[in-house]
Amino acid sequence: MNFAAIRILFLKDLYLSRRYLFAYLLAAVVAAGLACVPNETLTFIGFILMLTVAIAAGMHLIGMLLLGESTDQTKLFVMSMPVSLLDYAIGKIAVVLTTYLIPWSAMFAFVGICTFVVPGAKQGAFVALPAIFCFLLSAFTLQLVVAVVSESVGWTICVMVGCNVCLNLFLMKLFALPEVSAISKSDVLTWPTVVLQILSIEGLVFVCCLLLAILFQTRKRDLV
Amino acid sequence: MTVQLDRTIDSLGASPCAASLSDVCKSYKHFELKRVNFAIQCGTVAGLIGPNGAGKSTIMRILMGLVQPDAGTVRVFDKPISSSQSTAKLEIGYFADDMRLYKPESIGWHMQFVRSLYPTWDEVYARQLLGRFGLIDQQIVKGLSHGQRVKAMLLLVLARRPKLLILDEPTNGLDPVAKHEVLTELMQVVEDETRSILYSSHNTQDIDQICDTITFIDRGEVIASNNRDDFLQQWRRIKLQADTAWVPPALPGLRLDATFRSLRVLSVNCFTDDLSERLQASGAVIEAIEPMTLEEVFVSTVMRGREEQPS
Amino acid sequence: MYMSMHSWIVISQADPRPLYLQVIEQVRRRVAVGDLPPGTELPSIRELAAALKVSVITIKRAYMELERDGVISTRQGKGSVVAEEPGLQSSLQGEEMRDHLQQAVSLGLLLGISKTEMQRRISEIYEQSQPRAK
Repeated sequence: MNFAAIRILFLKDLYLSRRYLFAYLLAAVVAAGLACVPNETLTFIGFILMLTVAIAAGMHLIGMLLLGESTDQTKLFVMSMPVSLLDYAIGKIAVVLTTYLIPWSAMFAFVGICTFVVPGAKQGAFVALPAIFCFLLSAFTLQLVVAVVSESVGWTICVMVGCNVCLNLFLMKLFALPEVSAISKSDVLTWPTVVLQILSIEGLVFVCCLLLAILFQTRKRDLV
Repeated sequence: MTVQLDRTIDSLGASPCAASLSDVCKSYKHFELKRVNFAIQCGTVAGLIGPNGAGKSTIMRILMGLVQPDAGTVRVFDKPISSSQSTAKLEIGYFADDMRLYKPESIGWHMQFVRSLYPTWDEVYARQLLGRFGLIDQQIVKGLSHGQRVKAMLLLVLARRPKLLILDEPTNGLDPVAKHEVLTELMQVVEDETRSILYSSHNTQDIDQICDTITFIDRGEVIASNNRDDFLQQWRRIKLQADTAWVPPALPGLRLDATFRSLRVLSVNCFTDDLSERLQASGAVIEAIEPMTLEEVFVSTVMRGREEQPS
Repeated sequence: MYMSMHSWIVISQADPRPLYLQVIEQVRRRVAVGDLPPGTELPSIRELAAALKVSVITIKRAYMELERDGVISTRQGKGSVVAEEPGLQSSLQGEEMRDHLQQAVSLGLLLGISKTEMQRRISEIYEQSQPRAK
């Protein structure tokens, strides 16, 4: 594993996606801002926008940085450089994840801080946020693995749509849980076990998908 | 029919092997590379000719470690090559005409990218090449013509002064001026006897001109491989006059190419002086014995190979 | 620049003769005419190959044959020079003339032209060429 090479590949992709990163970051902040406005309609719109930004950014970044390199034939150029498949895989997965995390963490941080800072906001509302955001993150890593294995935009979109449907079901079920719905309306933040369990499952999915993505990427020994 | 490349290169005075494939096999759905044996000696320009789909690109990708063979060994600079290893690529420059650069970025950005990965990058030479190729480093790849793009990619290869250049049809689609510029720079590599080139092309004229050894490939098999001169020495086109009853003697390597009234045109791949005597003894009158160009040898070789194995 | 040094040799794709023969013939011509006096250093095999954009093996062969014919000599480790042979220039001139005449005579024999007829034709052509030479 050549850390110098991984770093160069990582920075290269970061540079190539700089304009989109900036756009997504901007959109993320705007959406999060809307979600924190003390107006029910605007908050609702803000949340929808945040989910949209997360899903769109995920899909776009996977398409551009990962799938695009094969279709654009630039992967051949990169692999003619002194980098191994493992270097390429780690660098690629790392940068796709990082670029996603930028708007993701911006939104998470913004909304999270608002629940504690904005006067009149209920601190308990924070209880659902990690679970929702980590769901988005693990759904993203799932799409990532599917993209690496299938090398197909079509399949990745299918999985994305599936995750989207699951997200809505998840949100429904989450707020239907008595502990969650109770805490989110209160001023005190406590962590029910069920939320911690959900977070651990999401964490596990996240780690597994990342490792599988790197594994499958490394197994692609034939460039043609 | 596989001809091994053995001590043919001793005459060039260079013995270490820059790269080699031994008994390499690779299967795809509709194509198979069968027991390829192929070597490039240091300090030589090795030419690879074959029809489209013959396996030239596959062989080059295998040498680069971009494709894993199903069987056989691949060695570059006397070390086995694999995808887990990247150090060999520090000394190799690879060009394929289906390779692409990042469209939104400039030539200068690509130069800086390659420079960051190659300690052997020669910035002074890179700048010279920009001038000789008529490129500007601020040019965006998207706006480059085909020829400019090829030259830009070759610049990225040449400027890091690789010990081995693997070039998959570099002059395809280049206008004569661009081709001249490219060949001039490529041949500079030849001045250094520690550096080697593997060059594949459809253009037999290029191969004929610059290559020390020539390997023919068709349908995944090495049909013939030899020193350039030895190759052409052995081939002749023979024009005869003979009557309709005349049948060419069954000599190995002799093939009747065309018949027109009394004219018979034959080609032979192992010409010796007594062959003409034998032909005359068989009742034909020799009109002319001519050397063949590499292109004609190539077409004839491939046709013969296909006749022997029509699959 | 390295190119101009060797611009006196021109390889032509239009010429049907093998590349190494073209190199040999041009070196011989230059020596015969006096452009390359005895002792002139010739470029190394690899330098010339790079400059002319032909394979090393071609130049190697050309140099080998030129050495065999005594036109150049190779010093161990120091490259090749035009042979220090007195009379090399005139003998090469003579050889070239002889080669051309040989070709003409061979063709004449093939076409069944007699010796007297050949001599007559040579005289005729010589007369015709004279005014143009002036």
